[in-house]
Amino acid sequence: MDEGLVVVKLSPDEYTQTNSGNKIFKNASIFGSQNIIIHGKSILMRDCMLRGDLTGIRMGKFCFIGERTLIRASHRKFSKGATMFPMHVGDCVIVEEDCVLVAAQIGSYTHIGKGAIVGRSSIIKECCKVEAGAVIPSDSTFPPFSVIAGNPARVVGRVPECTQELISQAAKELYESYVIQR
Amino acid sequence: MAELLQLDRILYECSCSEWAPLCRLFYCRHCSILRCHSCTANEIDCTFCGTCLENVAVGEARTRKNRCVNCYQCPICCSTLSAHNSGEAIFLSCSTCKWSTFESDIQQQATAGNWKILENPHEEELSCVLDQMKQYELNEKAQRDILKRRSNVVGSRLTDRFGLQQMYQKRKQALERPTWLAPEKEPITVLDELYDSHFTSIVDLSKSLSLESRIMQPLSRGSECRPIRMPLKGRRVLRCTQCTHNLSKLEYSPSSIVFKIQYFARTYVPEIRLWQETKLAEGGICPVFISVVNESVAKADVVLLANNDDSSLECETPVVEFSLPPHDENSDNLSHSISSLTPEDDTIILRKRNRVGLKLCVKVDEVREMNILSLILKWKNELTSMTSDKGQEWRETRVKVLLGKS
Ligand SMILES: [Zn+2]
Ligand SMILES: [Zn+2]
Ligand SMILES: [Zn+2]
Ligand SMILES: [Zn+2]
Repeated sequence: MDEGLVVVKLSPDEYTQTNSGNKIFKNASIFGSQNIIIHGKSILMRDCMLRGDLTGIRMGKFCFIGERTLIRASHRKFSKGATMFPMHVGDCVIVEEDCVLVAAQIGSYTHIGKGAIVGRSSIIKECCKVEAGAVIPSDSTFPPFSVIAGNPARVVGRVPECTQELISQAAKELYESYVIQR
Repeated sequence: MAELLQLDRILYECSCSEWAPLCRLFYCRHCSILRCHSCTANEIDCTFCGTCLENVAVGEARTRKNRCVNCYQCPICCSTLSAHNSGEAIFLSCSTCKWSTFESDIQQQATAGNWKILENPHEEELSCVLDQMKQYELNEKAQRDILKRRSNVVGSRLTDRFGLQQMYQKRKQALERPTWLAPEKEPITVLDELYDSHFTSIVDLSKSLSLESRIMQPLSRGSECRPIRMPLKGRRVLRCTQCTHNLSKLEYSPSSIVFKIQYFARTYVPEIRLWQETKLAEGGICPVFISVVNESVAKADVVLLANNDDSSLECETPVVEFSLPPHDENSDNLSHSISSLTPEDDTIILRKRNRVGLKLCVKVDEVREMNILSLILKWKNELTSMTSDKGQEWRETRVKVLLGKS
């Protein structure tokens, strides 16, 4: 569908816009907000959860976090206990609904389909496409331009070369098309 | 959230008459034609490991049999194995299926890399045979060479001022048939009998490896497993087969997403997208909403024509003509989005920056699983050619819009 011509209305009773242009569901479960940095113009949809109380979450511009999606920092076990790792989400990352992200890094221009699980400390480089329902094993790394699918997920193809343009436009159009208005 | 993008529902015809979504196509400005993956020359410009993202030189990749020596795959489920320190040594384990090197014959070792893989028991013998064959190759080449330059008499009379004597000796040596050094094999005359029990005995599948993990480790006989070295990936450079110019080339680093050369079709050809899901009803005239976007930095004139000959739907809108302003990189000013909401006519129903929203009327005789609406796209854009006068020419391609059953 052409995201550039669709308008989705978000009720002002439920959603609010911050100074940096983020459109956020008012009752979203955001813990440890002092550890969460969102660079602006991002959308956090209904019932999504950001766990900044564990360690920092840093998110770029024009990200879209779908309904009921959970974002949480990852940890790694060592012989002397576990260490938490901050999570970096790049610019123009589109995450659809019901996803669980426990990754260490999600590169810019990545699109994560419905219900995908991105395992602990995994690294997804830029311009990847995670298919709906994929389960990405912990500690795995995926190179740029991968199409990732399956359980355990692996690279099943390549996204188009022009993915950076495609996804950054789609992310900006999504931001534009979700408007807070009655 | 409705299905995002859905780019594979609009197919463009490439110059080689393959059909592909516009985002998978390239545009050669030297030849002014569309190119796809199958009608371009592909070469590998870099081999790298997808896990550690380390660049491996081509020669090195060959000696390592196209595998990374630092990253390992689980022999059961293909996930990446992670290294753990057990206190005294390092072992690998899979976080998905919990397989670990403790289940293999090498349980732990001092370093994280260079795990031994399963070896071919005949490795030594095979490499000996290979060396021998190379000797024969040299010998046969020398014989061919002598036939070619029969007149070229290099005698022993020459003084050895230029090392000719040595060369002559070498050539003479190469001409002698080498002796077979590899161990000789006796041909087998009697084969073991094929017992019926091979087919009738009950196999315990829970004890044997899956077909996939058997294929991953062909040298494993039965159930032994070892960590599998991660296969390397190749990155492609695309070239136009007609003018040999590069169409797509990434920067050197395997983790880079920056292109040194990029001739994506989207930047030169107007992109048609579905705007709203179409509801097709049999025996009537249905509206099909599509949008056309100009991603080029130059203005584009566009003509869309109905192509009812090879269409499963009949388009009642014969022709639409419009021009689209250039795509503005820096238009981050998102507020004044829709510039004209009032329909210009029955077909062009809205304009928004570098795109138009169109309503085409389609006559539906029969609704099938997949309904194809064929169109002819003509466009004029000064960037479609390297020379400015040819940039004024109209370009043309066929487009298929796939409409679902809804
Ligand atoms: Zn082609
Ligand atoms: Zn590696
Ligand atoms: Zn496994
Ligand atoms: Zn060319």
